[in-house]
Amino acid sequence: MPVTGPTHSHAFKGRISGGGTGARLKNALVSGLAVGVAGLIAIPILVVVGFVFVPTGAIWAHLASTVLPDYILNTVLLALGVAALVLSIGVSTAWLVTMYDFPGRKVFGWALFLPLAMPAYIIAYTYTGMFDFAGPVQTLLRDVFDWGRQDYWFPQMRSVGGAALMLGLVLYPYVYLVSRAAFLEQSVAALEVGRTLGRKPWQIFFEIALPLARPAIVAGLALALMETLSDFGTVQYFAVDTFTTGIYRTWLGLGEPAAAAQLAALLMGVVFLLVILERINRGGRKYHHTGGRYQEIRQIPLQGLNGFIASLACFLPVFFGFLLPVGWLLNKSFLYPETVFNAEFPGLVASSVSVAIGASVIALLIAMFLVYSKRRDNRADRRSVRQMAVRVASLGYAIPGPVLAVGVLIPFGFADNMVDAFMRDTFGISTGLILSGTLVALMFAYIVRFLAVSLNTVEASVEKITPNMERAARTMGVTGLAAIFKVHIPIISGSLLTALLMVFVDVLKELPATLILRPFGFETLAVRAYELASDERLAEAAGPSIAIVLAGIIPVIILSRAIARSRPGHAMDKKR
Amino acid sequence: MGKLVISNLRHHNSENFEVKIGTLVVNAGEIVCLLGPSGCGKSTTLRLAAGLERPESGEIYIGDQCVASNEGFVGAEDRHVGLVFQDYALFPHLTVLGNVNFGLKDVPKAERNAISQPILARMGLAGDEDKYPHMLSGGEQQRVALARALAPNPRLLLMDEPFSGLDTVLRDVVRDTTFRILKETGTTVLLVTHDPEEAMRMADRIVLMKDGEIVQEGTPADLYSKPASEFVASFLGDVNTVKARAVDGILETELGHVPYAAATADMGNVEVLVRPEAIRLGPVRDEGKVTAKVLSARNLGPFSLIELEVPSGARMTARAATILQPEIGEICAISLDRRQVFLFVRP
Repeated sequence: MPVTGPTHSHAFKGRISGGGTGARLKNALVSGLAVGVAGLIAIPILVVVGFVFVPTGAIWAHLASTVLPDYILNTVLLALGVAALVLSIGVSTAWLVTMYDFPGRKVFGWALFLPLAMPAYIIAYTYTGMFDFAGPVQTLLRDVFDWGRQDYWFPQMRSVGGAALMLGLVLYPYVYLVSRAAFLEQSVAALEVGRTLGRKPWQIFFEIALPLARPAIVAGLALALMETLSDFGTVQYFAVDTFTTGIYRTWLGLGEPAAAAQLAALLMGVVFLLVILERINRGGRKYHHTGGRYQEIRQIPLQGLNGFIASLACFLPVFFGFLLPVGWLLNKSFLYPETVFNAEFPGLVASSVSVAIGASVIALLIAMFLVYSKRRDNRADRRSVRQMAVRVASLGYAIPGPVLAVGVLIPFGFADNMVDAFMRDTFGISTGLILSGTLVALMFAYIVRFLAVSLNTVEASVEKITPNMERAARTMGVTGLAAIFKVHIPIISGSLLTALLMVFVDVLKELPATLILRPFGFETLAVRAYELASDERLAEAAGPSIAIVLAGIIPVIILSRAIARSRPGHAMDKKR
Repeated sequence: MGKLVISNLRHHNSENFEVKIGTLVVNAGEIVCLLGPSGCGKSTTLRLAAGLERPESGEIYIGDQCVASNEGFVGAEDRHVGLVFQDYALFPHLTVLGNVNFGLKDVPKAERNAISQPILARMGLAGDEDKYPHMLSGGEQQRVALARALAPNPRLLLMDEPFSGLDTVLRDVVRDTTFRILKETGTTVLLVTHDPEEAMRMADRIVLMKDGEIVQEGTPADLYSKPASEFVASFLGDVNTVKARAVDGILETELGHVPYAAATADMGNVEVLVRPEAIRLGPVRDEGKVTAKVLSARNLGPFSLIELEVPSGARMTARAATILQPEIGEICAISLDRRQVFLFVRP
């Protein structure tokens, strides 16, 4: 059949669309914008790293000779304590609920996530309230045994050990989450072959299941340790000197931004080392399974004493990490309803919710722009500019809150001074602080820190739309905007909502950056809870705290539903 | 190598489907294929033989040892049986050598390689000892799985769909290699498969299961040419369902009359099963023969599948050597091979 003119030219145009001058310009513009956004996100990191080269002289020597050894020792002890706790709780409970059947297994499957809703600084002061000298537990002991102050020993909550316990109780779900996913995903056949090759159940756990899940467990541990290193509220409340409290104090107490930035750089170096170690660990051997067929896991029933022990092992972390502190908070809120029903509470909720909504919407829009710019990229290789932009933009999650605050305040303050000086010199008017000390700085910090959350969610959901789906839509004449509305939006809308909610809750819980960067007089639920607790007005702190915890349950529900759906081959392949 | 005997077995699997086996024997050195459609209970039977599940009732013997009965139960970890899965279930964190040595835990460390190396060499895996499973092809992974199962010198080898993870070209090669190795080592094998062709290629004996029960067992030839039921006949190969009338000793089918000893006049109108290769096509010479019109012919290499329309309007499929393939639209005379015509009276 001869090719007719119009058909030919049409095909030609279709093939090279995106090659014209206009399109090329648009292409460059999108790439430029993506790089610009990534550059903006990277500013705090660059600033902190840049300060490594600023001489600080005597102050650094002073820090090194006085507090630095303590910072290092406490931080290391804290990290080790948390690691031991999250590994033992997270891995063992994940194995139990995956492989065994015992009373309450289904409930524990999701309930074990609950402590994730509890910010560490909140659990820290509820435990202090309960277990301190004046708290109900010690008072009861004294009453029952008629002890005086000197008559007994009771573990001190305000210690490195106490902080590790608090952080461990709320961070173990990270390890639980990934180990459970890994155990669910592993080939049942491999475990059964292990049995026929003469291994007892506990040998199968240590020789097969644990090595297979190791990369996942290390990833979960890395996350938990990152959270530990960036924790500020707990260690500050317990007066345990770690890097984060050190940065805060060097900055605000000693008035030494450069030294604070250098401490921050040191901490960030350790965090990135963790991230890199995790990557190396994952990249080395490929642990994915050799076979593609998934079999349903048949849980081994545990009866009698064994079943009771398994239930107890799963109940204790949920109890101490969630039920007990929440119960205490609820109890206080009911005993003192004025902690919730007071004049300032609606204002606190309003300001918290508005910054959280603002930050989550902006983060989502930026994430969608970056992800789609990457998807529309003509260059498919991993080193393309837009790919790099996505990677750089998600670095912020690894920066501890106080470090981030330092990285935001320094450049913003500098910019404000520049503008102010310029305006005074030229027009004789002072602009004051436009960026630092305003909501702009705070919002910027939130977006830098939590953009990774929306990026990951959006990216994962957009990847579900395979090129073949787009091609199929195209053959049916659905292209461009119509494809976005008819194909993309329906598929990713659920994930977009998830991204919004996750960032929303993260912002609501965020403490250290908010504490440092908030405008004068601006209070959020987290800040107020922390302030009240610091003033030992623990009962009054219960109101804002319970609000944060309740909001925190939302992402827990999302997560547990996602993992319930994630088992590959579920309900399929009933062959046997 | 030991003998496997299963008797009076009753067990509900996780979907509450009951498996009932009167007797199942695998003699020492024999390869028995447990064949059947999905969900017939064959994998459950294999798992019971492996000791991965404890039967509700019945006895299982391996060699002289009773491994499952009402009195006692020996679990998989103490049964000394080998197991090969469809997805091979290699341990991805161990090398090839590590995988094969895994089952040699009772052998002193220094002597393990002396056992595993010759097995790897026999499997054509010499030189791959330090590779990880993901670096191997599907066929190589399958051989590692086999080597791992055979290394501890098991009393019995159990294989669950061991070849269905491979693509068709590779499958034939791997199957032949595996068959040779199993025969050379004199291994006692119980192999589960849903593929009748695979069963016929591998098995000394086939045990065909349906709905949790054994429906027929025998050599591949027995099952193919002397099926005990309609199910067996149609499971082992394609069949045409043909209308017929039974008279004493003769079946008057649409495709012609064949002598059939079991046919009696009181059966009346019946349906018989005819294998495609039993329908022979030839030129129309005399009047008495049934004729059929060729609707289509598909050349499958060595033979062709030919779709026919008989005078009643019914359609049949015949199989003939490609060189004998007729033209489309041609009218052919039909004759039947009586050995491949089966009559089953429905209860």
